Amino acid sequence: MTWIVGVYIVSLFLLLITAFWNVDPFTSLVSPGFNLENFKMVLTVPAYIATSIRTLLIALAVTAICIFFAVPLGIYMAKIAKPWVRNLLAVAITLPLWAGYLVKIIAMRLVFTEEGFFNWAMAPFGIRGPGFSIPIVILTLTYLWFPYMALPVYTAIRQIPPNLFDASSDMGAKGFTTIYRVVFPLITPAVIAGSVFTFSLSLGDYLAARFTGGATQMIGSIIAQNINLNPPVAAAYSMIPIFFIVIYLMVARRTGSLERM
Amino acid sequence: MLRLSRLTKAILIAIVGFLLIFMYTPLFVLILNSFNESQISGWPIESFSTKWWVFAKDYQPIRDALLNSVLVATGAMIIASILGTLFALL
Repeated sequence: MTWIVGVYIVSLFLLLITAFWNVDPFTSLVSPGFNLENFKMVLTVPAYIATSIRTLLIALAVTAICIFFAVPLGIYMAKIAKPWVRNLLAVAITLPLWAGYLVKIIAMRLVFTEEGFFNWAMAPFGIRGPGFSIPIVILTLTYLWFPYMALPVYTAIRQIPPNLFDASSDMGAKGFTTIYRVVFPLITPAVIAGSVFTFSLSLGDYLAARFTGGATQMIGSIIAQNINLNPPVAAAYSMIPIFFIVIYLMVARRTGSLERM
Repeated sequence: MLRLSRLTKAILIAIVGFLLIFMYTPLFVLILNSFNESQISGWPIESFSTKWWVFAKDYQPIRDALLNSVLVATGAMIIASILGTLFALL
């Protein structure tokens, strides 16, 4: 327990302290002290605000896309597929988790690069990829974190007792109505639990933006640039994603779904 | 059981198929590129060769990096297992 406190809490606390330190504008020397300039800078400089909002929107988009695909996948796996197909899909969804994180980012880079697989495969249809930009960052992050959403959603759908579906259809509900009125409310906790992963992992990521985003900057990219140049600003800026995640967790907690994680 | 129309089932299967393609194409492209003769990655790959695998096998920095990765991973695994077990016992 002391270890956990020592490693996690103390390092976070040191980070917070650093955010208040001074930095000499000419020599970049950091000296301990107390000023709010770094926070003021992070909250008022337009480039920082734009990056915070961009990162937030990217993380929300990744979460939305993950939910959009995880629910049909879960319904198919849990309720329609034959057992062997279900097991195969479960393996297929979890397997990429064991491929390295950087490997997957580089793989996405290879697919979407100018002379890459996507442009080659889509050339007959006259479609060209958008090049390295925000949509590709969103796709890459979706690719990285999708299993974290798919597995809890699948488990939740699997746990729905079959007689609920019988009851629903006895009451005259068609397939879609059943999915909308019975399945959705029952899997909401799992979706929220999964979204905590997809959201917070996307918020903190910067390598996806660096390798597949072209000029796209996320909060992490700016922190990484400042970490040697101006550690106090980097520390102050790192409070922004922590703030977003705390808000998100508080909202998630209100729905009561974190207890089931 | 959940009863769905043929069309809905077809849509679900299409989504699952799309997902599998989306998840495995990048890995497939990456693996095939490791057999690419040319030094610049690209698609379609020009000619098949195991040149880069041989290169990786004999290149000392890559071997050192591999050894370091294994050592770090083993260390992290041992420490995380101990801490995780202790945490569960609390």
